[in-house]
Amino acid sequence: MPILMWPDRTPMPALRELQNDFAAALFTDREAWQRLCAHCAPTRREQGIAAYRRGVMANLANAVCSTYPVIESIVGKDFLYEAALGYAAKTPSQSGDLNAFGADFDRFLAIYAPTLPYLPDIARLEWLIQTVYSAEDAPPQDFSLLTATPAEAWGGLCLRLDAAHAILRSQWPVVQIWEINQVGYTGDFAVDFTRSETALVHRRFQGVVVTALGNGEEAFLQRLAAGETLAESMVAANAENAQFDLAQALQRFVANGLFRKAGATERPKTTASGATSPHAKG
Amino acid sequence: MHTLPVQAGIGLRAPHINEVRASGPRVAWFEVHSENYFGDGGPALHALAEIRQDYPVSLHGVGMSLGGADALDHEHLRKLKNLVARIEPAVVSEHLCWSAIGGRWLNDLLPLPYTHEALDIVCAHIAELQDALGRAILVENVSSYLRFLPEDMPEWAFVAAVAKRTGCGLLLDINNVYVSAENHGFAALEYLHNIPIGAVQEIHLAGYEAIDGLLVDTHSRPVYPAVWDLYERSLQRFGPLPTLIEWDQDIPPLDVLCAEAAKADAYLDVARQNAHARAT
Repeated sequence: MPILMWPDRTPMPALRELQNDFAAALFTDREAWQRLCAHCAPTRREQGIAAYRRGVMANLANAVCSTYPVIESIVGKDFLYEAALGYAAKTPSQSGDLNAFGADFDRFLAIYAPTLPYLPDIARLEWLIQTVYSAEDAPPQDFSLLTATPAEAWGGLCLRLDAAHAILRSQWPVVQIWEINQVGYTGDFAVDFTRSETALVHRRFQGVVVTALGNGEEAFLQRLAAGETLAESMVAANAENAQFDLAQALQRFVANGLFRKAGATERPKTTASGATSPHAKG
Repeated sequence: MHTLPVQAGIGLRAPHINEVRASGPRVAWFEVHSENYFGDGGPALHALAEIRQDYPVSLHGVGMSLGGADALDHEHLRKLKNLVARIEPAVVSEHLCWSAIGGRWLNDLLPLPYTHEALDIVCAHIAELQDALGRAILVENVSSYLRFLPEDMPEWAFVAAVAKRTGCGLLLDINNVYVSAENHGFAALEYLHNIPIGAVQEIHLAGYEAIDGLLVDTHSRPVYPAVWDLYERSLQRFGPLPTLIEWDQDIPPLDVLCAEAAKADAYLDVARQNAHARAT
């Protein structure tokens, strides 16, 4: 391959300048496109830029689609892909890891598909599922301090939660919508859209489980995750639900592995994927 | 540190992971995309660690943007470093390309201008990455659909200079050489003959598609006959090398990938016999 001379002797711009023009040209900035073309061999350069544009957009859109299978189940593959392309055109990717792309797809859907107002919350739920799936591994459960402490003194203890969990409060029945869109679901397909649900997203064994939290349970878990004591957390739960059943809650969250360890009144750090996640908004 | 066997391996993608764990197929080694294991924990990382117990594993990055004018993303680098420490792979590789500018990621393998400035930048980034990891990496030549002008050197001189200046190894993607040669009208053999023999440590094979008058490196097809021919010529020049079958779109059953790997192994056997005959 001979080293080609450029006919009009336009010098090659600095790498940063060339890459800026390349990036802008892919997102249909006409002037950048023309500047880029001035530094490309003329043969099939338009097709070349188009190939990169297709490749970049397809990579971004496919990354979004793979994160939102329930959205796909609801709106169909083609609708989701078109939405993902629209999102990718407007949303700069912030990471070399494509798995990190699509975090605020919920906000895009709110504008893109206003006739399906529950869709953004389903997207929030699916993003949390992806985040929880790869959150740090939990240590073995350790309730030795609990068993060594008289029951009347349990109120002063703290409980450390599995980092691989998140909570989503929604005005929609998000857990039910999620369930009926799972492969192999055979139950009732009737959805009462006036019902609100709070979802617990929790990794167990090889996958992520989504279950509904009862009244008071969310407050209970949020307080515990923030490092408050069992007594303080129970007060918060009772404020939401006077019938909150502490024994039942303890049994549920120890059995499903959400509670990992009983400790003294230290304040365990909250986790990025945990109950204080910025995505866990309702 | 373990090494890759001089046999054909397979690019391991999500649809085949459970099958590999359950059936333990006779595959010499696996390569995975590093970024798919950047999480802090969870089943995907566990599966990879388990597979690593039974097979040599290579970590192949697609998002480091070694050729970007931006500084390396230190968070990305930190995650790769953690993964390397956890998996202890035989090989760590990245691409000779760029993927981000001004903090915006394009998440594709974008072509570099073959200029002295780009060479300085990519070499500095490779040196930084190798220092951070405490080990040499391999860098892979990419397919390209654009050729920048004026250039200071042809692609092969750029690739050879990167290896010489940084001490990194080369991951020679034969399909990419073929695709770029067809798109830009240079001779693939001339490319190969200008790549230093000792620098190449791994080979990639994949399938392309013809789209809009260009060959595009889609990793969606079997390896084409012309690429097998170029592979044979490469083995004659560089000797038998660990060779990977890559397939990333329209991913077929594992058996199909194993059949492609077996075909590569047959080429490797012939290359070994020829090398042995020449030595005796």
